[in-house]
Amino acid sequence: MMNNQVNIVQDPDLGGVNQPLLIIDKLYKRFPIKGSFFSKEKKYVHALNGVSFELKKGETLGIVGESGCGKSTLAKLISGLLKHDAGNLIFDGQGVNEIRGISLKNLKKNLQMVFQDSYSSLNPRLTIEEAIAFGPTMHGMSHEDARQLAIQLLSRVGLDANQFGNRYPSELSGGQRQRVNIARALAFNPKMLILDESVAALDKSVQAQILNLLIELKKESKLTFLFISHDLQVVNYISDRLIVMYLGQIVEYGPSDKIFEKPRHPYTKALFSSVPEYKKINGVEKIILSGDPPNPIHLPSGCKFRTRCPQAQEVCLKEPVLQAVNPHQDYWVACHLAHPEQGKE
Amino acid sequence: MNSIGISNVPRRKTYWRDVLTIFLKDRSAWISGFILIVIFASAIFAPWICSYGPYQGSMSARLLDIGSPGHLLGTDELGRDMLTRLIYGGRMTLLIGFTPIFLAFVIGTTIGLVSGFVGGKINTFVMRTLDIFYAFPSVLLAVAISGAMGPGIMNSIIALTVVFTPQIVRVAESAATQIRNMEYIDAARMSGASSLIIIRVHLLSNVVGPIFVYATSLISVCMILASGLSFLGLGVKPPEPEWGLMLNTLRPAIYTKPFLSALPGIWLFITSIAFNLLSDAFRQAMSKKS
Repeated sequence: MMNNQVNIVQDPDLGGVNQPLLIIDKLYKRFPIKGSFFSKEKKYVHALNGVSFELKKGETLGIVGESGCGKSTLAKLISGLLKHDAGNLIFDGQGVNEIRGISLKNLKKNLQMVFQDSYSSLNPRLTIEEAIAFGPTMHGMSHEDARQLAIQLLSRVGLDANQFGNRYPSELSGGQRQRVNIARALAFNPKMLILDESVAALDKSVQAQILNLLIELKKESKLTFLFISHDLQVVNYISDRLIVMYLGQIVEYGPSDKIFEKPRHPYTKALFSSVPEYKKINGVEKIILSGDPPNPIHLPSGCKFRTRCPQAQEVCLKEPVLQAVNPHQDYWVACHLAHPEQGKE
Repeated sequence: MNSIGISNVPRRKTYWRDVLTIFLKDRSAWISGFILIVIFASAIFAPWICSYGPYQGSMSARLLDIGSPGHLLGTDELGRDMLTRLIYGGRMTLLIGFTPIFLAFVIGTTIGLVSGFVGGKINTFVMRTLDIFYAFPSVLLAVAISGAMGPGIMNSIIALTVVFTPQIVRVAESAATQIRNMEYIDAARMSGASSLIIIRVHLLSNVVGPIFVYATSLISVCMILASGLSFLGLGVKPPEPEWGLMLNTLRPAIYTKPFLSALPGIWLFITSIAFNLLSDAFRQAMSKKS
């Protein structure tokens, strides 16, 4: 299990021009469950079980998966709000968990996050101008400069600073608040933006506006995005590459249009077949998965998906390895059926 | 999409100013505020209002009825003017009603916020330690502490501070624990702000309201407790005018002059009701705002 999904990060080229902005190598995270005071046996929720991938500069990577698959845990680990148990997390050539002090502060500055709940992610006692200006002042900017920056950023995300600057979050709509959140993240002039279900709580038309804003920002400032969502259409719209996660592992990883065109992993197939538009275009039958995802406290052995997989075979009792399925080495699937030679050795 | 605004004039409003606007529309806030202002002002300016001194008695005019000529509210067991002593008594009663709450507010909010924000084992340790104080009824605890330290104003203020601090810590801690998990705290952490700044800017502004309301509702309890200590001879010493102490010294007259001996109690009652109404109006204003 520990050696699963190793080969994604082959030779991290630290410091080079083509160096990936974010390298994630065999990341593990588990959360202890509080048992009763006297219980000896410690139980854990296994949130991430060896996740590895790279994110190149200027790329938009989408992560999809059903709730509880570890998407948000991954976002929190990358952003440094949680610490990982094992593995490596290298951002901009620096290990996130090794550095402290000033360089950590600078690292945090370059990596910002837009949260899902646009309401709870803004302090109800600060005006939106103050909320945006707070970050830069923490990095030594004067209050007046920070205020000017906030005004600029508000107009950049499509809000009139004269009209909205002095308002409180409760006086804005969900879409407006999410714009403020994006402006706040941009205030640091970050290299990378993590969007954790950032448009999930918005209605479709506002979602589209925010997505277009993000695409615009990406064009303007060459931002790198990590876009986490459970909404496949949204992810398809914005991302260059796609990761499909199931129970804390990557099951499929590749260019998003290729995955959308022809998913290889049975889980991805089932996931895509549940999207109405996708069914219509590709003419696939909806695959209904039996049962719930397994309990992340007691993970199944072998392939994590075998308990629900319609094509499960004996070979699936062995853990599948995430392997490239095409000669370009940019499309990876963790399924025995996608690599028939794998289980045979 | 941003053309829905009503005017382009920047509004310079703060949360607290909005709360104050709602607060000032409340009639009970006005009435209780007026009562408190009268009591406070009369206590502060007592020497200029009263025609008698607080210690000035007359053996020939003891226990005069309410409404006696020259003594609007009668005289006490030593022939001292009741109104004068009630006005002067406000000084001491308000002092030992306010100071412990103020101290407990400052200390309790600090402990509660820090411990709630840090969380984990430290928080459990702090809260369980403070739970020890909950094992005693607050009156008993106040009596025990000031009894151990001896009578006196300073000692009763310290005793009352000790009684009320854990209660405020508990309110502050639960508010801080709630807010600690909000995403704007995560966002502030990602901005590289230190915990101290996060507590000051993001936590304090969101919890100070509820804690403040709770603290103002404790003022009346504290005043009654303080008067109770004086009544038991643990707080203010005679001949100092103080409402609880006056209640005690007038006790023997309860059968002969029931209204007269109840006067300090009525004063205490009115003041605490006014404080409670005020904090209630404040709480309502805050909940209307949010």
